[in-house]
Amino acid sequence: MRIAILFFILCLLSSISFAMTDFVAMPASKTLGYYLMPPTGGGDISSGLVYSSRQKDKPDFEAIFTAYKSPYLLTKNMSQLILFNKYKLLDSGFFRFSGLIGLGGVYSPAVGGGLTGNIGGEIVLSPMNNLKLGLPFYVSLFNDGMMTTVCPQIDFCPGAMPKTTFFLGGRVEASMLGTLSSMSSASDSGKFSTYGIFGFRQAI
Amino acid sequence: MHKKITFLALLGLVIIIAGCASLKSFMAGSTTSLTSSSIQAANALRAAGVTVFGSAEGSNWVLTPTKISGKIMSVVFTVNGQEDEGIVPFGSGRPDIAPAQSTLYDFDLSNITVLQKDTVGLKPGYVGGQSTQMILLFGYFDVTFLQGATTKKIRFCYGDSTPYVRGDKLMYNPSGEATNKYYWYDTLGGTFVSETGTRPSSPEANAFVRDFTDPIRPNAHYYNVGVLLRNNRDYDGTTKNYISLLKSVVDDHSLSFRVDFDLGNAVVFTNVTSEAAFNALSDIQLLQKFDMKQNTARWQDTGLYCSVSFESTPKF
Repeated sequence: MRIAILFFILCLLSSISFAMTDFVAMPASKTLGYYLMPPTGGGDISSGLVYSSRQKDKPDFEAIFTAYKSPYLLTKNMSQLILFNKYKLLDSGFFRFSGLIGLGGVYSPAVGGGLTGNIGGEIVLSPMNNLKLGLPFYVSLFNDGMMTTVCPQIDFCPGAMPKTTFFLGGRVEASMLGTLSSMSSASDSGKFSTYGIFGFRQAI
Repeated sequence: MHKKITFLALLGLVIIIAGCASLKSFMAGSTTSLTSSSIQAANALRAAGVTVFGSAEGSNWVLTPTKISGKIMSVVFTVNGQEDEGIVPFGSGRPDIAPAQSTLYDFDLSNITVLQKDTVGLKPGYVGGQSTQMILLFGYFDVTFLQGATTKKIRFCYGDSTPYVRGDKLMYNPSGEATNKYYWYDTLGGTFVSETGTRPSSPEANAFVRDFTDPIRPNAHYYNVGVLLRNNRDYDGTTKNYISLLKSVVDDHSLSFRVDFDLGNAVVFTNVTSEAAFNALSDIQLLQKFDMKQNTARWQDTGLYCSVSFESTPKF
């Protein structure tokens, strides 16, 4: 865990400047989206909301809420909320890499909840003005392990609906208990989940 | 610069706050109870003054031990009878690659041993299915039995765990030696060697367990004790010769397995055909002829059975 944190610190300290980013395939300062996540192995569909905000001279902000095993955003299962700030570290127009950092929380009525720290990054390719390929990835730090999330996705804004984008992709979650050293010795255990993901964002 | 400071402040905050939540509370966990009602039933008869005799089985003498305790490393339920398919309700999550000197845990089948695991990991793509066999990985068995009216105890090593090597057999308090110790029998020197001394190069050992190799993991340090399931209580309350370990029954659930081993006549003394001959064996001969019934090829009827009572409760 310490090695992972140190790695991200070094990556982020090596950046020269932070600036605004745009991460949605439409020119809107605020968007609200809804998505569904069917597990690839079958089972209950999860769902979520995503809120994004861009403001001048401030980092981008994104809030991601996931309700596991429920399409209705309310669940007895685990819910997760992460509030991310995004910091642009590299940008060549076509290619952009941003650092993500945020606070989060998990909750279930049955087992309670708690806070998490979240750090990661986002790679975005922009082959067209209304089409973006994104690869956000982040690590959620718990007191006894970490959950790594990777979400490759395509974000598309159809010409007939200039205030709406649709996105489609996948989401991989790998939860591992213990420290890095105990993981390597296989003395602890984890969980690996894969989902499809599709949804839309609406300018608000 | 301002943004960089803000960012670093946030990063510090995240690092400070990180870890307030517990990940394992959101994952499947399990409780595994190990016991043997057959040992307990035999002991109840002995306590009532009834002699529990051994019996001849082929060219061997078999008997029910008074106690089997020792150290366990991991418990595995296989799924659909396939290698590398299953769940690990207790112990190392990857017992197939567990190194020598892995962490071992106490157990005693003459009572009930409760083993708890906070999380049960599922391999990527786990679908699940029927489990008809358990694989248990032990450090060693301490097998206590009666030879006539005399209590004897043999340590049978299933794993590489200092000072023992897989396959080693040791006698507790052999005649003529200092008490309260286990002893190897040095087959070259013809003497007992205390476990507090240096392990002899060629101690009395079970060649089958010592030479066991897994075709996929040829460097496995722990022998795979195979136990077939029968007369189980499945999660839905029905009685079957398997338990259902479907993903929907395991994932995000609290699991409970009560494993009752049938260890009646599980201790084997090879090439002994009568009570009188068994009672006449010396300590060296007891060690040489000692074996456990299940030491035959995996995936077959090993002669060792258990009954599992399986409960699955949704965690959320």
